[in-house]
Amino acid sequence: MDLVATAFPDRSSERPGMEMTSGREELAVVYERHFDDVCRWLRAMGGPERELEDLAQETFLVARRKYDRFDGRNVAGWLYRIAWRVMADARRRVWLRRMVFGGEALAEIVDERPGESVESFEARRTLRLLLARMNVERRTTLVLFEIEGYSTEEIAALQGIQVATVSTRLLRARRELLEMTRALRAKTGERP
Amino acid sequence: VKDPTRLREDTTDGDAAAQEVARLLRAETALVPPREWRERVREAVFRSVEPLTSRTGARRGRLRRLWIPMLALAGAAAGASMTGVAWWASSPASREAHRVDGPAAPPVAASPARVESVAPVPSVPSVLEPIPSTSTDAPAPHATAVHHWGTKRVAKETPEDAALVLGALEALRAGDPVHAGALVDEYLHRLPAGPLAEEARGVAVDAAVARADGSAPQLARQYLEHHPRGRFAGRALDALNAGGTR
Repeated sequence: MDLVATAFPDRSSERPGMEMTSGREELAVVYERHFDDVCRWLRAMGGPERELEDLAQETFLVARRKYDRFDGRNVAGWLYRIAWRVMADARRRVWLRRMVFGGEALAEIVDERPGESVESFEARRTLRLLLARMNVERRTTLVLFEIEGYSTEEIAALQGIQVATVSTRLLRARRELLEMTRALRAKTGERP
Repeated sequence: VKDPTRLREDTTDGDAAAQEVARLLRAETALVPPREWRERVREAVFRSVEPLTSRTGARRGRLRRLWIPMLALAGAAAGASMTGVAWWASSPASREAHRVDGPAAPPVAASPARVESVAPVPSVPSVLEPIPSTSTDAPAPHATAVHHWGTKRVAKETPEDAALVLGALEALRAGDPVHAGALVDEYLHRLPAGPLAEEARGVAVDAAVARADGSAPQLARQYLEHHPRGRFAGRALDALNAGGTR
């Protein structure tokens, strides 16, 4: 904890709303509690798996920089907003790199997992390509709900919106995914 | 309000497309990040001890300034893309000789007409050809900016910044690795975590190899530290193993 103590001086007295016990360990606790979540959010936002570690690192570095202005309420929502901006920057980076040097679009980056069947890999790849054509907010909501298993209430708290808005996004995302799948099936005449 | 049933768990018989969607969703599973990610990121985040300062001033006016650089950047990137293609397509033989990442691609003719018809842009411009310096002067002192992994910052790039990396590529191709090294140093100094940081570090390694001033292994090590699985990792490993005297 020495590193943590040096990097994060005790500010517990300045944060009456913070539920953590010790100021200097606040962010370390946040990190341990939310690291996996941040990776999941980043993937739901469209981050390729091979980049998630770097993106998560960037998110927590920004969180560390902004720590002294954080009011201590809704830690997950705060981190989610940071991850959202980090992911927006990453999309821009990939776009620029692709324009200048060529390379894969974000949606095309799908890594095969050890021992994975061809069918499963192809299904994941197809899903990623379909999701990439969706509005980012809808896509993120859909993945958080359908794949990562978050409830609509949890997603609403993360995104700072009403549960009804989450439900609407989810409904539209499902409809859109269904329509895209239908179109793809009609085009290929078989499985997408 | 009760959550709807997740599509992947929905057992009701829908149409073929609905079943297909369920199949696609079932192919993906909830993410369980590996333990080593958590440990590495913890180390990178907590080992940095830079003071926590307010960045309110720096952020002020961000939205107002958003559109102008974006439009300028789009124009610069479009021009830069053609430059990159032209550079890549101009000397297939030497790139072929240094190719380290898989089966050889068919050669691309260097005529301007052919260059324009190259589509899409080659996915991996995997090598930066090392060109021996034609300068007879002693190599200029090469100030290498060391950018700690744990202190990388998210910064905005301007067209001028992108031009630094492209200028470095052209300088390297024109046989001036000293200038190329200076340009990418400038880029990395401005934007250590910029959109083209990986390319800049790759060019820095090639420029150092071409200068043969012994700085290549250190730069290669820096590249590998930042981008262990990067597109120029093979080149960096070569430079590291060869001691920069290729």
